[in-house]
Amino acid sequence: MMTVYAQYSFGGYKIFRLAENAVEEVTGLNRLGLPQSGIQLFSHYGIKFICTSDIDGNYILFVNDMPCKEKDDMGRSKTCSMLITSKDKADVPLMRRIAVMIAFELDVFESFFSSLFSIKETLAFNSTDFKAFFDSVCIDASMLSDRLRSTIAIKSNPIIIYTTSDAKTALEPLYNRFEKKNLRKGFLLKWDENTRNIKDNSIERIGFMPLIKKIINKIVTIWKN
Amino acid sequence: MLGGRRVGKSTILAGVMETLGNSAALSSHFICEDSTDYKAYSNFSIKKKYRALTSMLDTQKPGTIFMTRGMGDSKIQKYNISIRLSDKPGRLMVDFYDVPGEFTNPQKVEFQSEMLPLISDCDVFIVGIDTPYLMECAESVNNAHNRITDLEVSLQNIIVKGKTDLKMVMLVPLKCEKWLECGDIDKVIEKVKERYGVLLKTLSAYPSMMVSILPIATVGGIRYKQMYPAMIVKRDGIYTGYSCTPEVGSEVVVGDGGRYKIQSPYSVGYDPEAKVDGVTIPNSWYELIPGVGYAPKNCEQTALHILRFLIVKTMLKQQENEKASDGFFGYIRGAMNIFLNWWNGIDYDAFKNLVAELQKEGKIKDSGDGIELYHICNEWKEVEL
Ligand SMILES: Nc1nc2c(ncn2[C@@H]2O[C@H](COP(=O)(O)OP(=O)(O)O)[C@@H](O)[C@H]2O)c(=O)[nH]1
Ligand SMILES: [Mg+2]
Repeated sequence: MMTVYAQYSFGGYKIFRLAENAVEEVTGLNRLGLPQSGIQLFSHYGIKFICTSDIDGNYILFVNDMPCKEKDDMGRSKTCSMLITSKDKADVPLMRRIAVMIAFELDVFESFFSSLFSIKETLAFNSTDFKAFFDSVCIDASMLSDRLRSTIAIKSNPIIIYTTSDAKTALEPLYNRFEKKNLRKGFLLKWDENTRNIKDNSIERIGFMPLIKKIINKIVTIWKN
Repeated sequence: MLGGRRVGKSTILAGVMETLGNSAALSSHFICEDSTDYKAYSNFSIKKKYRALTSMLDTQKPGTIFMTRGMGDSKIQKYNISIRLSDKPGRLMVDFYDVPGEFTNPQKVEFQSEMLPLISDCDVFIVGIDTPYLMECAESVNNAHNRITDLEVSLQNIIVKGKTDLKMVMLVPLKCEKWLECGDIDKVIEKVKERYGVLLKTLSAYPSMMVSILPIATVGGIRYKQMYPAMIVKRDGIYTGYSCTPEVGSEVVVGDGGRYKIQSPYSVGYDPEAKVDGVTIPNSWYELIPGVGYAPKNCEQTALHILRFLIVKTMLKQQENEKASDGFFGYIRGAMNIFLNWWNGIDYDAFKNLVAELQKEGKIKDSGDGIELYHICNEWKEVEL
């Protein structure tokens, strides 16, 4: 089973487990299954995105430091980060597909994911749309239509996007929770803060958001009927 | 750097960077440089944050009130700051760990897994204190906002690895222009001693621990005006990010100082985020002090105190090394060499002489403006600069 966690600021930055009907805070006394490697990823900059497994056997898909709409007077945004994790090998192919989708169009995912949060009296998360996103990746084969995406999706090497000037600075702190040998075999991509995407011209955008919207609509229609 | 959320921790370092170079007009002086890899930190350098704060001196108008609170960091940052002498080669590299205030809470998973190793690694602890909350709020509010009980617990994890393993904790009251200006800074210190009493006593009982109180003004021309309940502008019932004052005849002041008439679809509500551990925290509002502008005070003292500490710690290690050198404690010598790596390629004597000179000239302040060496450990007294 996959579990989703997010770091979001609600009265200060906190880590939450996002379940279908509840947003629960992770605390020292109530860890809610958050893996140790997840705490490390949530606590540091340097890694923008990682999809791999940790030394405790958790499969991990993590996206760091995504800007929310809300900005302060200096133009700085509140940010959120996301972790999907599973111990079940059966979840890996889907997680891998999602990872490839997100990694190649991070700016789109950033605005999608951050918009799922809203503050009414408490913190709310739109799990319906998030689930629809998952489902759309399962249903729609066109999302992995190009060679690059489909190849990376079926491989098992880590996918890592780093923000530091060189990859080494970003990777080194991870070696206590992730196997060094494995990380070194990863697809290493460099983050570009200006375009909010990876620096790689060979990757074509496929625009997955319209597809997701289509599927969300489809799901809503089915539900209505 | 520890303390509550949004108290001004990151800004302390920015203030140091801006002022250290101008502080020591002696034979030579310090040059402070930041070689942090900001690519790793979403490009929000401490300099940028500082400029955002000081620019309010130009953008705000006298007679209006405004908030100075921007978005905070969500993760631990390590700043690589180097300090060198203007006329000597080699740089002293000092790593500053800047942590989100939330992580000071020992109940958080981030504290247990990421903060504990840092606390046992660091030599100096800078605790930021949000002075308006200390001076103007109920004890429970101040305690929650400045995370005092949390600090009492978390700083118990400082590890002193032997007599010469000197450590230092500095309590740094911030945003205290109002009290500095009218000669009331002693009242702030008194209150620090009262509210941080348990922490101060516990730390002073540690071996090889220096404890000081060092109030600083990072801006100078902006002073605390008053507290207002934390309100926020809503649009169609959804909270926007805009903080404001409570409504007075449907008018509010928003954080940037602008006045707005609240009308549909907008409304004003209590900020559901203005809570720390269940305690409701008000917002502090500021105003310009006419005719003052950018006038930081004692920012450089933070750095000078740290530099002096590093020199004294080195001297203690040297003494220990000399005592052991003709004996059979050869291994201590080895440990000593690792320690002196701090000074690799650096003219240690020049640093030491400059610090000693500054000390003699009274340029490293141990009193005045509320500055106080609260506890001086015996080891510290053993060496003379
Ligand atoms: N008025 C005033 N505001 C300050 C001062 N220092 C920092 N701030 C503001 O307080 C907010 C929090 O500061 P920051 O250093 O980021 O706090 P941190 O969360 O403790 O690191 C920022 O938006 C600063 O602009 C100060 O001396 N006076
Ligand atoms: Mg900070």
